[in-house]
Amino acid sequence: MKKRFTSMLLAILTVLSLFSTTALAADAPQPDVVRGSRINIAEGSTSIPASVKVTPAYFDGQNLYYSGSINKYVVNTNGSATINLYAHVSTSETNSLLSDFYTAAGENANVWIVESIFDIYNDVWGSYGKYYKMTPYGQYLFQVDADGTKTYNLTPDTSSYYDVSITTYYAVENTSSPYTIGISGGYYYYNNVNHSIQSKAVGTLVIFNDN
Amino acid sequence: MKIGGTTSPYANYPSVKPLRDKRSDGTKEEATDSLFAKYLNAKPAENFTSHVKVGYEHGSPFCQLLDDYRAWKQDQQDAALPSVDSSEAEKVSYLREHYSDASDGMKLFDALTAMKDMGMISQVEYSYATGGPLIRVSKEEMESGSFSTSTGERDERTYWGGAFMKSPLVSFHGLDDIFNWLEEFRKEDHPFSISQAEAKLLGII
Repeated sequence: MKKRFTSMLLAILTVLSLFSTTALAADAPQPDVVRGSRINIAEGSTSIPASVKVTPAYFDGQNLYYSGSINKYVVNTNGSATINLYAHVSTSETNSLLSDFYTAAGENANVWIVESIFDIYNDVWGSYGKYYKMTPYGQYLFQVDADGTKTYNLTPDTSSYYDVSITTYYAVENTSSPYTIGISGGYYYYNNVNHSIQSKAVGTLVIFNDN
Repeated sequence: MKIGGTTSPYANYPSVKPLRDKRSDGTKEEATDSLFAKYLNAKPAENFTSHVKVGYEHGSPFCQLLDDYRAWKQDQQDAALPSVDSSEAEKVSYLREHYSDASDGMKLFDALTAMKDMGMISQVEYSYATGGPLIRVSKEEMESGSFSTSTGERDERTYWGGAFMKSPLVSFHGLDDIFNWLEEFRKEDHPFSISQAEAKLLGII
């Protein structure tokens, strides 16, 4: 009788143990799972750089002009650049891009336009992105806050996936030395599982004269 | 220019299959009837990670065409172009002599470039032929920066290739196509630049 009770107790404990292990595993933060270019989020939210496009432009003091056909564009297709996406543009490529703009527009480019696209992935528990707080690099031509950063507030959206486009502007530097433009900083999101605001580093940077 | 109207310069040569069309299996329709199909079917650079150097082939399709054109031009014999001050008849005669048999994209593009160099077409006309008007951003817009969100799949080729993908150039098959387009184009006034909102309506950004 005692032996049968012990066996039953052991069986119950084993089942409870399995339950407990399963519950713990479900509660623990899961690693991001890359599925092609998409990411499944077990808990919280994340943002990864999807692409960066750099376009030469001409600013005449009042307006900026660019050609919709002249740019360099790179896609982060495998999702492995989870923090910063870099564009390396050699000196000859930099010069070609500027020359192409002159051909298309008849003006010398003095501004770079950088369009950064970030993908946002949310969990199924109602977590959502709140804002990006970015630090610009290079001779940027847009206004920033007193701390040198610029905040882009997001409308709360718990969709599993959407993307955000941020366009920024920089002076073309008259140098053959490498220089970097772009934005890098943090993606801040509300984690609806543990009810806290968390962040994740993200950015897109373009390096010119990078040979 | 009427935005989105039938008088848009993009509407003059609808023979190139629209790249945004999809086959029944969901894959992209590829342009095959254009002398510039190579550029229309180009794909944006992929996998930018691990600090892989970006090659020039990763420029936009029109940048790739300009790059190829520079290399092609170096192998061509120098021909003395009529000067800007030459008569129109002399310029047309030169074009007929050198480009009447233009059956490849590079030679046709060379003809268009020669027309610009001879002063037969203006910079604005050249811009429209190879893409569209310049796109304008106000100083205020530049200083505030822009920010938007979207859902769904992006049309990467349109986003990357821009106005070139719908340009008159990619539908030209001969010198007469350039002349015909120019004649139609000159029947209306065309702005030097358009706003980003207008460019979005035209589907070129």
